[in-house]
Amino acid sequence: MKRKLAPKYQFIGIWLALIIVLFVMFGLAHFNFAAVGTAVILVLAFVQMMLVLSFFMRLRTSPKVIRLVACVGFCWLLIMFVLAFSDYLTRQWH
Amino acid sequence: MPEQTPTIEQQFEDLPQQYESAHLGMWTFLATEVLFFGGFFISYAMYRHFYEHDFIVGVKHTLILFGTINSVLLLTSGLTMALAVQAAIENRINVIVPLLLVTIFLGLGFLACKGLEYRADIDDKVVPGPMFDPALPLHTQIFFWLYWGMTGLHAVHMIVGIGLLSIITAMTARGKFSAQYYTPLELVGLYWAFVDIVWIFLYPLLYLIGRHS
Repeated sequence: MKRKLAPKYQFIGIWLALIIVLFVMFGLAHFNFAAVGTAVILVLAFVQMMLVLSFFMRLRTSPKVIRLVACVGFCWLLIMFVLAFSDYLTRQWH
Repeated sequence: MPEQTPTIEQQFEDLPQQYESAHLGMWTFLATEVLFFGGFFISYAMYRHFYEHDFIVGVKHTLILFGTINSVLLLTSGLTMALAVQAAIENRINVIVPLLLVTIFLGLGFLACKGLEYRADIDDKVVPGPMFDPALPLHTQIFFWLYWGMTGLHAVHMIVGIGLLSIITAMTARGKFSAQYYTPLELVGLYWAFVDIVWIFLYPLLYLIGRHS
């Protein structure tokens, strides 16, 4: 089957980006930015995930149906989070 | 090396449909894997919400050097795996085996590093149960229960991944793949990248967030 070829050094570039983001996260953890720091670190982890999904897992050039199934997996997780939290956070816990 | 031409199984119309079905199956499996790990992630979020302080004590007790080295090893193995699949697409069959061997080597390096870390963790008395360090806050045990559970389940996935990579490497060496047919190679690549993604989230949750608060 004919497949789209990735530009020659694309994967090396993505890997470099992943490593740079990793060390930015590592650096951020060593300063006390309180809640903002936590949010930034999680956003950076999300960026890393998107890079791996789009390029290493080739979702960017995959058929639409494959991309849809990939998204659905994470949507289910989101539903699980929303339902679980809507229960626990509305209980009289203490 | 003989050129492999894929056969169309009787339930499929043509090669693209067969190819897409294999990928659809793999992604469906990965969706179930997201939920499998999701249970741990929800437990983490929930307990961190209730016992924030004790969790931060836990994060400060994990060994960040091991975690960071493992992140670099795993992200790099993700690169070599992606390059192996790319080599198959471009019909550079002779470079696939070396790339897969590097991927396996990096995966084994990850496990070795994790083993050393576990040993140091046991010495630090952060195994939940009667041996747990009594100086640590009570609910830090929950953090470490999640730490052992999440990294343990991830390590099991790594071991399975290395097993699959070994099979694929042997198949490649025996000339089973060509630019016309490399679906198993690509599917194992998807699994490996998924294991990579799980670690991408384990690293900040277990080693980074709250370390210097």
